[in-house]
Amino acid sequence: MNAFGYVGWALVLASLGACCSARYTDDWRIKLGIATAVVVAAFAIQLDRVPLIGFVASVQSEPSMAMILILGSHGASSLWPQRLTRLDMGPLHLCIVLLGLVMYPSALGIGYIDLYAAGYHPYTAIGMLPLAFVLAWFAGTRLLAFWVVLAVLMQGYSVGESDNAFDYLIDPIIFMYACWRAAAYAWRRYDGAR
Amino acid sequence: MVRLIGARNCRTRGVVAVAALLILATPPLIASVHSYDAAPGYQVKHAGAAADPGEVAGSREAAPLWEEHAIDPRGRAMVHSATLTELPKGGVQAFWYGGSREGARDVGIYAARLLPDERSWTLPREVMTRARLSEELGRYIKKLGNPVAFLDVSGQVWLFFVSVSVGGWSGSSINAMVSQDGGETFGPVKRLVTSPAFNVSTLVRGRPVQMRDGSITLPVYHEFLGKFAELLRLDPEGVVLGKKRLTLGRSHVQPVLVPEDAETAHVFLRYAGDADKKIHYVSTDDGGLEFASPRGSNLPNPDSAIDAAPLAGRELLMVYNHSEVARDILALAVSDGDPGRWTRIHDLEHAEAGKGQLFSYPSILRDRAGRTHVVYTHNRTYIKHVMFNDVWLSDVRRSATSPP
Repeated sequence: MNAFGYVGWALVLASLGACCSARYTDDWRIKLGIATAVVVAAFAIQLDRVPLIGFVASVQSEPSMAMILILGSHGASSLWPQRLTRLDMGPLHLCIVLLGLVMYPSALGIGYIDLYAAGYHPYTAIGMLPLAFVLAWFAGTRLLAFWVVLAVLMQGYSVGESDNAFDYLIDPIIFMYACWRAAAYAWRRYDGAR
Repeated sequence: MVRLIGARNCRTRGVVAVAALLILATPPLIASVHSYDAAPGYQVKHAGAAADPGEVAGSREAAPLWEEHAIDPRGRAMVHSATLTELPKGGVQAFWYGGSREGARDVGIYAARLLPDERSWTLPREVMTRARLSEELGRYIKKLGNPVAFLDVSGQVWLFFVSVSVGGWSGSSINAMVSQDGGETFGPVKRLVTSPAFNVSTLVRGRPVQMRDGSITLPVYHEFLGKFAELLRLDPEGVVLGKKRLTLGRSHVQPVLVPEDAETAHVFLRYAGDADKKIHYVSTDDGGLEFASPRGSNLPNPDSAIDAAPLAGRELLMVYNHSEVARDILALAVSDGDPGRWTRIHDLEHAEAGKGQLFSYPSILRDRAGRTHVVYTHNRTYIKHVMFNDVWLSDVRRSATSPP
């Protein structure tokens, strides 16, 4: 795991710590302290000479930009709810679900077309750039623009383990989370319509 | 950043920020486009394992040569999956994994050498352990397996191997490390990311092939939901440039890539299905851009590993288990260029059926002197090495009359 992995997971764990502690206290200093303690514990406690963060990385080596943006946003909003507006994550969740539904089955061998393989190709990243510009221009989709551009930037400079642009966009954990959020949203709509 | 992208009246700032990031992202992308070649062609003339068939057309030895050795016969309780590579200064080096049992925590990857003009292998040494890999990658590693060695055109020895963090072998991912001193010591491990689903289920067994642009094509396979073969392209630094799917379904694993010339290559496949227990193959004649659908050859396959190497001209040499059900016969077969038609010429091992003898996971190498080396797992207790020259091969081909 390289620096991107360590920093990425530290951000994600800190955000999770902040989100969880927000249920019990309103004091941002206590929430920040708990978030910091979670990160320190994950890096300092070792089992079989491997830090706890290493066990997380054994499953998913690095968090994607989607996970960092979503959990980072939730974490920051939990710490300072009065100062920061919560972002509308709906479009991002939808994009993650759609991309994951196409990419994961094909990468696991269902069908001859392997969308994931295209993520190694430089033209895929180049194709994302004008898309990001268009997304940025239209109001309400700036989060998507940042998501795509940050992923392309991370891949371009090889900051993570992967050489594939899609690994910087989404990961299976955030895909499952987005599916759960999408399902919950669909259920609320269905339940409200009854 | 949350404030920037969350605020309602800052579209201009948002666009400026995205534009700045785009400008930052552009240089590496332009560089990668310039260096990318979709099908550079196979470089069949190099110093390594898959040497130019013409260059190793035949040894200059007049008498038949046949030698066999046991590598580390009393070293470890279990050994398996040996691979061979030629060394920059001559000689060959074998790598395999061994320990108290397959998948045990004490399993490591070992190496031994047969130096030029020597008659015996050096003592084995451990080149990778579970603990060392765990420390280098900063994550928990459960077990190691399937080493694959390769000598590239610049004289670097590559060692690929799989590691598992969670689950069985289908949870494998591929690691690579490079030696600049002819296989004595290896640099840091790089973990190849080849799957978006937790990077699991990509394994390696077949030897890579050098491409004309300096990149490397590594045959890999999946065995999680599907069992299918792929080719992975790596640049000389080990960066994954792309991958190509060769087969679909749940029937083909452990691809072996054998280039014939710059444009033509065959990929032989271990058959893991139930319907057609033969060695299957796919071929390309455009440098690997497109491969035909898998076809069955006339050689049986009991869902066991195979290996192949080019001989003189378009001829090919295969080492395989000659059975549809067991691994008790390990045989050599030759093809005159048709990858679907082979003639069985010699049995390296031929045990009595039903005795539980296992001869498996062969690896074949043609060295620059024209000698052929084969290593394989002998009953999982030691790695056996056989070496023969072209005179011996010609003799057995003349006496072989039985098609499979």
